Amino acid sequence: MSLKVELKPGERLIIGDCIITNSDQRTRLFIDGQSPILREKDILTSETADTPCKRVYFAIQLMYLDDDTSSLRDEYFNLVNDLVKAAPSTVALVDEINNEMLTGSLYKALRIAKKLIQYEQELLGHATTGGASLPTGS
Amino acid sequence: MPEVNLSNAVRSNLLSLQNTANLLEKTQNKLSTGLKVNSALDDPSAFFTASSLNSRAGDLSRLLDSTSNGIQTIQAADNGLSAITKTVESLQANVNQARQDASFKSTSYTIDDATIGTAALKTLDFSGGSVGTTPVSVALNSVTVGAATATTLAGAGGDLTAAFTGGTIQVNGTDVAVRGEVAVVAATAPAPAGGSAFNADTDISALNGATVTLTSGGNTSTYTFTNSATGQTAAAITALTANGFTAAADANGLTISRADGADFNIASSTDAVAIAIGQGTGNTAVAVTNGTEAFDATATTLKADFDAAGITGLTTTVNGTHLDLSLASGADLTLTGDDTLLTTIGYATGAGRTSTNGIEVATGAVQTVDQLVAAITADTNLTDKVRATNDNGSLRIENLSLDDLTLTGASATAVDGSTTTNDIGGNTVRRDLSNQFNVLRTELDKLADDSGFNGINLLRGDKLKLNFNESGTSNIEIQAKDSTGAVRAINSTTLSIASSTNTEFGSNDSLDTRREGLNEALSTLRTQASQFGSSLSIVQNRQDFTKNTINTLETGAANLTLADTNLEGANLLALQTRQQLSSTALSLASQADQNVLRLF
Repeated sequence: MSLKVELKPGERLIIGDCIITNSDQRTRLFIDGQSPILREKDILTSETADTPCKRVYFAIQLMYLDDDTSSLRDEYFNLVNDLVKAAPSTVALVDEINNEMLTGSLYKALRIAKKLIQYEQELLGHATTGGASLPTGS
Repeated sequence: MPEVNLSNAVRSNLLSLQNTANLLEKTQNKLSTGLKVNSALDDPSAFFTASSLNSRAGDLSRLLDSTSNGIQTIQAADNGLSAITKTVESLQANVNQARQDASFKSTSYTIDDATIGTAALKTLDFSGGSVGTTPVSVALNSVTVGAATATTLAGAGGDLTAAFTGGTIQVNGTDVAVRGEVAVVAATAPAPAGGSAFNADTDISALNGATVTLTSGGNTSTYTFTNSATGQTAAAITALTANGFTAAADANGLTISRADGADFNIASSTDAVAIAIGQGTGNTAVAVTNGTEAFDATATTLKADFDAAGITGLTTTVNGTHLDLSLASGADLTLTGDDTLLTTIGYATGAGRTSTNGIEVATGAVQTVDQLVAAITADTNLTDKVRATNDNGSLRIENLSLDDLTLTGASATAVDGSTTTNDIGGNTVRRDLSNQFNVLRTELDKLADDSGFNGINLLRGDKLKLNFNESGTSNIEIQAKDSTGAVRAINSTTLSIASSTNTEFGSNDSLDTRREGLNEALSTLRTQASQFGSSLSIVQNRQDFTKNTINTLETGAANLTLADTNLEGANLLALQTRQQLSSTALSLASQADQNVLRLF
């Protein structure tokens, strides 16, 4: 079962260690094989990864592109442990991510990390808008 | 007691107080335990999330234990392989040492010529060593059979006094031409024709001064014509009849003959003379060859005929009426040929014509040291098993094996061809090395057997299966395999290291083959070690990841019951700022620069 990718004009795609840039027409590609594949909308760079969860996503992305969990393992766990200490409610998602990475499914880990980023947005939203804090007890 | 009526204000204050007391109690409880969520009643979802996370951490811990055990098993196998590799290297050193060693034992023997002698055939036998149980013999001499005696053949009967006819006799196949009695036939010149009448007194004075000469070897007779008209024919006859010649008168000339049959010539000095005597023409001499000279065959001529045949060692003796023969070499004597002649010389038909009473001379000798060395070297049954050299006049025998070599026909110091035996020891250095080899080989098998952990021995061919998650869907199987993917244990048999034997260690060629075999064993071990090594690194990687995951879970679970989720947003903002300054961000960025994202 091939992976179907639709590219808009000018959109980019990473396959393995190559970047494919689409020309000025919509293109549909069918891709088979083992190399890592990432669409442009799923790619973060070190500049765009500016929040803790985004950084976690970024680390997983790098490990996915290198197909090797050992290279960034220490940095990844530093990020993740800091995150979990700061926001313990993220631990469930983090555990799911770790589970996928343990079994070698880095792409699934990346998908879950995306959910993590969305969750983070919610939490950051609480902080900036200032939601209710301590219960009144009545 | 009348009811106490409480006012609304008082009632609400009372409720408030009761609540406050309740809260205080709760807070005190929290303060004493340090946990915000003490039981399911405090914050149910948080409590249950925490406990499930804790139990998940527990599951992973158990997984980690089996991974650790797995790592121990792989390491035990790896240690076993290192030890076995060292053992194989020792085996190689052992084989090399044996190969270099040339301390084969040898003994030098003198050759006891007198005891060996030339009367009977003597041999030197080799057995044992690498020769085996069937002895290999080398001749020590060739044999003399007594002294030579001539073969004699004595005739009987015979008649050498009477005349006998010639013929051919064979002595052991060689012809002897025997001359027989020959009667004389006079030589006669042809009858004259057209000549003067010598039977009358013809006038042949016209021939004055001419000559007629008769020659036969040294015999000559001649007549010179005169001018006398008479009496010349008679004078001529008289003059010519001399020295064996007979001249007779004839109406047509002269008839000339020799009674002894010898050839003669009639030479006329002039043509006129030739015409007158009626013999020939001109100056050409008339040759007369129609006579036969007499031959008197006697015992003497007979013996001379035998002597002239040129038969080596044959002596002919006239013994009365027969001949006796003897052949010095002692070979059998056989007479064949003209039957009559044989009977005449004393050998009537039958067995008497063969004699076997002589003894031939045979030359025998004892082998010299050099001859023995050459014979032993040339014998393919002894090649690479026994070496012979000339050690300053003695025969030096070197035993090229690890087992004792037995020489039959030698004493401790001399080769004598008798039944005594002498042993030459085997190469003890190589024998010890061969024994050592087998000890090391046994050790190798023991090491392979001891390389297990927790009941699993990868070197025995056992399979190790490690799970990386609780459901077992992510796992790794480790087993010792060969290049085709078939399961192959590691031990002396699968490494093709067979036990050593004395025969093998005695042969340099076998040791070379063994050395190559050990090299292949080493490369098999290396390949297997590197396979285990890469499996080990995969497992260790997973182990580290699992440990870190557990750590994260435990951190998360603990913190879940500590912090307020509403604080989390604030914490995250603080973390965000902090991370911008941390080294983690820097290292991530540098990593990104090295891969495809730098093109982005």
